[in-house]
Amino acid sequence: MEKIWVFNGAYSDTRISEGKTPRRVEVDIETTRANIGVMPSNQCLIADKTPHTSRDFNFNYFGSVTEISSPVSVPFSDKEKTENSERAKTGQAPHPQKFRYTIYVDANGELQTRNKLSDLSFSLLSVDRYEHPYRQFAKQVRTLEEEDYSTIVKGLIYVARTAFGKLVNALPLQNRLEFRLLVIQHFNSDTLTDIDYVEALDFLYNYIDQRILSQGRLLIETDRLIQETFPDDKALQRQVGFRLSEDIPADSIRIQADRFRALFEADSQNLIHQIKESVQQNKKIESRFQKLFSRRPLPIIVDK
Amino acid sequence: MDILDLINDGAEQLKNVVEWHGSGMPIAEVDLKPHSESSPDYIYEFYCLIRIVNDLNHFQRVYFEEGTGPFRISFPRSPANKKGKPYFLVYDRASDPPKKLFQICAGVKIRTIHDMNRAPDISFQTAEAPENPKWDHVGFIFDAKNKRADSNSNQLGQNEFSYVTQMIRDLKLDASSAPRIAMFRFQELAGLEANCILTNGSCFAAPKAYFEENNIKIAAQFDKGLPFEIFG
Repeated sequence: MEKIWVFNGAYSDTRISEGKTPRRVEVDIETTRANIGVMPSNQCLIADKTPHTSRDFNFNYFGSVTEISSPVSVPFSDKEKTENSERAKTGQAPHPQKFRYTIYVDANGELQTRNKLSDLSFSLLSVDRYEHPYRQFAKQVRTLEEEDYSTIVKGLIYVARTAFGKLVNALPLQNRLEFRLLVIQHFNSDTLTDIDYVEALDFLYNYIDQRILSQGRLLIETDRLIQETFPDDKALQRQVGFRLSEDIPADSIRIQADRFRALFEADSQNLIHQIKESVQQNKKIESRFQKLFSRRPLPIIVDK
Repeated sequence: MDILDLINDGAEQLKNVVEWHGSGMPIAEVDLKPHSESSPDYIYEFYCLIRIVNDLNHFQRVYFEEGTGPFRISFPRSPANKKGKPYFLVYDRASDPPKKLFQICAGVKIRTIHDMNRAPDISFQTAEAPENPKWDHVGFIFDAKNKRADSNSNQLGQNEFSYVTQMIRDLKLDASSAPRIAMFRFQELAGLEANCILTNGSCFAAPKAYFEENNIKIAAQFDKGLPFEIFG
């Protein structure tokens, strides 16, 4: 089985030839390994940082490797040299020697939509640290499972799992922990595996409604009652709220109620309904993913 | 619109409400100290307070009295000393000049007959009650019990009931005590002119005498848009 690679072009300029397909892409990789195992004809993806943020990647090209240059030793930087002589005095190991490779790729295609790691992370087997998926792709060169390659190249999304993962992890840690316990209770699965994602989504939606949205409905009604009782006191209407202590900023009922109003208005299109419809329409893709992920636990981040 | 964009937007909108805009605290806190006096149910408690204030304003006139400093217009989220905290002042609409009837305070500490502290969620205090009120400044108390619809039981617990009845005894608000504030008049909340537990859950079954002997009423299903049911 030939390996599939992801080359991360974030650390150097990726050079792309103009013109027809296959376009020739050259990417430089620096690594401490003297042999990286990349072979001509291996399939690969070329990733890059998205603009404006270093916490996400785009997968830009897919294709096959045509050639790998011989490794070139990378000279130590002045800083590394100084540090190496410092380390030598204390008997510490010096910075390891780095090698630069240029990888030449025939790009069979360019990916333009559904190619962001943050959007794909709940559809990729390679990702299991959902708080920092970019870290799992931060290496300049890594291998990829065939299923993930196919997911990325075809632009497939595991809709039910992506919806579940994005919504549950939008909750504060306390609520994620509480929800996780409720899931264990409700689905009788302390490993959080083998749970149908559509059922998990319904359960999550119910939790959000009972726990979060119920608070919003109370705040909106409280805001309305204040306005009705004190129609002339605009300052009171705007500012009245809660404060935990003197050194923690105050919370205004009006401002938070307005945020809830915006959410209720925006959800008039009923997100859960649309998610389920999309799952229904893409049954084949969803069941492909379901098989791939059946042993994976629900992606609820509980360690930060 | 791509389903992915809808999911991303939905998650962003959710993030926008799950924490308070100012303090960053979760909007639906998990009760990590279930048996302490302070509870994360302050949103429901405050809703009950404002509903009472709003209702009283029909037949009486209610004014907001500012606190001082950081609590000028903000209410503390857990039991606190009355000093410097905002409260409401209720006036008689009919009298001229308007006569002060009583204060409505939220979660302030009150000295009991045994010189201990108790902090009912809502207390009606005499018009001239001081910054450090004692039991004899209190006319009525209301305690709010938030019951989550998704919890195992949304019925008011006997222990929660007993907690409030004990508070009533500690503040000497039992049936035999002489009234300390003039009787007021509710409109939509008519029938709740008493020491009360307000809950959005249900109430356990008990004979009327049981509630009467404890000088308490329960308003069950007390929530927005629902007709509530009075026990006692």
